[in-house]
Amino acid sequence: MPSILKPLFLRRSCFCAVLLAYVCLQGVAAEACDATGDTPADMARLHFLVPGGAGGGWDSTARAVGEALRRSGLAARVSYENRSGGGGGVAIAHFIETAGRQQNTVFVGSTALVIRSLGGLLPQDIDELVPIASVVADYGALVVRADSPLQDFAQLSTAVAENPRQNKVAGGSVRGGMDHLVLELAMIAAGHPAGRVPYVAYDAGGQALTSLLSGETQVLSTGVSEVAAASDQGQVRILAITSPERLPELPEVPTLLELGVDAEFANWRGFFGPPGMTEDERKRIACVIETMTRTPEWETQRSRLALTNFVRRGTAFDAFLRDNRRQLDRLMDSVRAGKKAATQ
Amino acid sequence: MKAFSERLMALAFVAFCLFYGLSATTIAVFPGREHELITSRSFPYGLTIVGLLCALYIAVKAGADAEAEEAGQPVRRQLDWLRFAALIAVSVAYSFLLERTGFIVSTTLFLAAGMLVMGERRWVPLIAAAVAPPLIFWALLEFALDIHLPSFSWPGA
Amino acid sequence: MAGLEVATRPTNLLLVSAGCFAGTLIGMLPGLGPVSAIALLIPVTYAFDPAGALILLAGVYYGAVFGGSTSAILLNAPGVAGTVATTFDGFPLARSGAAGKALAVAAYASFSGGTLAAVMLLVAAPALATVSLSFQSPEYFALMVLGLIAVTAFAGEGGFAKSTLMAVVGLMLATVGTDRTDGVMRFTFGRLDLLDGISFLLLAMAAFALSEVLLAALNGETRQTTNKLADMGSLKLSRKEVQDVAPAIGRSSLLGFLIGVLPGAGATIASFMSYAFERNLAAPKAQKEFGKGSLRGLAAPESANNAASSGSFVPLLTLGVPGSATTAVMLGALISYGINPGPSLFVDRPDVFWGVIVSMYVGNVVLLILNLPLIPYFARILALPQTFLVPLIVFFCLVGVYLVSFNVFDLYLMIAFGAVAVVLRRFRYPMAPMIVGFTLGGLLETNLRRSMVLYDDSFSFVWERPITLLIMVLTVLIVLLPVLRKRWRRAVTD
Repeated sequence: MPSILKPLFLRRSCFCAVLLAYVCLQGVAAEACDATGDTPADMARLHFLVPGGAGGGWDSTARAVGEALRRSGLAARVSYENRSGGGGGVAIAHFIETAGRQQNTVFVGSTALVIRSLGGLLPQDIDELVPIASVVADYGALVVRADSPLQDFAQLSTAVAENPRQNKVAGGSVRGGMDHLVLELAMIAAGHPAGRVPYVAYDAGGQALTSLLSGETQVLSTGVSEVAAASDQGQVRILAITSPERLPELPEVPTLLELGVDAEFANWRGFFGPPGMTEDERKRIACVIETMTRTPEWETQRSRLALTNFVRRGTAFDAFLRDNRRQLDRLMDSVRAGKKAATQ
Repeated sequence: MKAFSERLMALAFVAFCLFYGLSATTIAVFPGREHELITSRSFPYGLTIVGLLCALYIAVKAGADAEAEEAGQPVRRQLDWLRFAALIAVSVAYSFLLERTGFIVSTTLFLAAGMLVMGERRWVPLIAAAVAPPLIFWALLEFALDIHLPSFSWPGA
Repeated sequence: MAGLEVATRPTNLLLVSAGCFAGTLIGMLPGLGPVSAIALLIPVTYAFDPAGALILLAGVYYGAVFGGSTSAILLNAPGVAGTVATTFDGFPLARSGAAGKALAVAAYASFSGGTLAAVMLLVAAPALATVSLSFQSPEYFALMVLGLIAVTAFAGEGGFAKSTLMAVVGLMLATVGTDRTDGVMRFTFGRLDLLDGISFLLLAMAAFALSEVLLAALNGETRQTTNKLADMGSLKLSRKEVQDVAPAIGRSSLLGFLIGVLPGAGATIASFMSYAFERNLAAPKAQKEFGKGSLRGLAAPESANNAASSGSFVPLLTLGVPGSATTAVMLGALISYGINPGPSLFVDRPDVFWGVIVSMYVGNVVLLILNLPLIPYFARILALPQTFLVPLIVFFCLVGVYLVSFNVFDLYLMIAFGAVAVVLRRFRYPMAPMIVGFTLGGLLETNLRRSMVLYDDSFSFVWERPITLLIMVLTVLIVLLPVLRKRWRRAVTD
């Protein structure tokens, strides 16, 4: 059954062997990382360019990866540079401008940058950078307060059909931003016209969560990592998530796919090299990163981030990025078209 | 004289508000939300109006107040516009050089120039005070906090 | 009590002290705010147990707030938004030769604010959790309006019209950047550097510290001018002064704490509100002192901002909801330690919960002990002749702003603003309303628009919600207060 959203997401599994085998198969199909010759410990220095401030999402991912690389001995020295501004645009511009000087530097990117590139908010598109590898992903979640009358996604969908303005959805991004897009993705796939559900923008996921808890809004669209803790505490109920399969840390939460709603979305985070990076260099760093994701040190770091492994590199990563971009582009168009339709 | 300059200042504000208001008309509105009561343009428009009202009020009233005040004004001391301009120029030069000649060099030059502008003529303290702070600062940030300040990079910039 | 036991463990005491010390140093350097400091230190804290780690971070937070006060008083350079109100009376005090006293009052006020708040936290934390959730977008909007009017309504120098105009300018500057609701660009003129708007630090440095030194250059203050600041005066407070200041501290601590409890309102608005509140409350003779070096005017925001910092831990610890950027980072830290803050933190990890609260008290004591003896040394900075001081302060401002964004454009912008500020100040346009308008402007507009979406494009939230209505009525009262007061006084004397 052709779906506009091809499932390309790596299966997360507790069994490293399966993971390893899968990745190796991928590697065989694409370019293999030499298990013998390419000793990753010759990664003397790796510098991370973080397009956001200290403590933010990009920053914590970069530092987690850096720590894991350092502790597992894969990299001798890691350093970080925070260059926030323009929602990441400043860092991209800087990276491209100084490409000649950026030896052993990787740029931390994510879905958010693709969304902003497509929205014309960045002077340079992220696809001017050379993709190296992705490491983690966060999936979208639709959440209600624990005492909400809405027990599952089906009920939410019915409520939207009957009385659209009654259930307002909070999200941690501006209109047209990620949380809004995830909501629209789910709603459109469930058969509703775009822009039907009122979306209330907040500055960050934490604020949006507060809004849900206080009863200001009835539903929340945000990343799983932002509500996992609240869900454990019993403060909220996650109606559905946008991953291809149920997540091990949330065994009772259904995915939209299994509920018959054809919507999948991953907020991935990965690393990019400067334009003009050689293929050898790209492969070398990608291999180091991939090797790192198999270390126990990474496992510690990753679980601290409360994010899911999502490791892709080489042509597989390139292909994924292309499809991801297409998905987002189509989604953003529907949202804009839907907004216009709603006012006519 | 004072009344005139007060009015001039108020008129400058009027011009600023008009500029702001005109720029506000170029703000995009999220597609589909044009019908809403309050859009991305509303606040700027509102501020323009309030600003204009205040500025015009000042132009009229404060000007009149200043006229009344002017009767008993003591002689004002001379303002050192040259020093003021020089200090600003030096600061601009510092900003220009910071990422090109690097933190230590540009800061040293700036502090030295700044002190000269302010009238310092004793060479030894001047040089000491121009060299020491950037070095200390650089050391503190680079080693203790792992924050990197720019280094010499003019050819590449 | 378990908390006391945890907080007084030697390692934790050491951690709190180290945190406070590091925080103070970091807070004194603008550009390295508590948020960055905490974020940078998180990996360090993995070595300790969660309670200890959190205690260290809390120490850094308080230290940073206090450090910010020091540079606000001595250099008119508020590094953190919560210390802007401190400059209103702190800097005039320093200028007139009472730098030592000002720093001492600030220290005592901060200590009192933090301690009172810690006590309130101890007593009422779980109960306050529900209160903090009843404040929603309409209430925040009303609160911002109140804060803005409260500070602006009182004519500083120059009169009511100039105050309002500057507040409007501040609000205008706040609209520059990406709209926080729709994501559209406003007043960016195609410049990438303006996409995030103008940074607070840039504007505060330009309007206060930079304009101050540029003004000194303009007025011809060179090394020939004896620096009044060098005579920093005694640190001791007379009995009368203590009596004068104490009630203000008490009131401001309570107000600050309550405002801090509300997620989304923090030290910034708490300090503005308490300043305005105390000014309102003061007798006319005392009221005139505000803005010129009133001890009350200094003590009020200082106790409020510390109390609010403690208050902001309430939503964090009881609900797992971050009330500010700093607590958001701490939340991330907590999660990475494997602790899930929320209603059950109280039950599951009482050692963390109470440990943090009691360590706040300990931290406040440590801050006081550490900083009081150091005050004379800090104040000595001002003993430098102007020829050295002026370039150093400019350097301080430029580097501080650079450290925030690593963008030279910001430096040019700041210099330009500084020059304009000098001109404005000569024409007696006050800077304070502008910075208040700028700080509150974004939140004001965002909450207004959000409230409209929530109430389906109507203003009904103003009268349908009791708290909002109450706050709006208060705002109107404050505007009318001077008029009412005059009428009343006239009636009394007749």
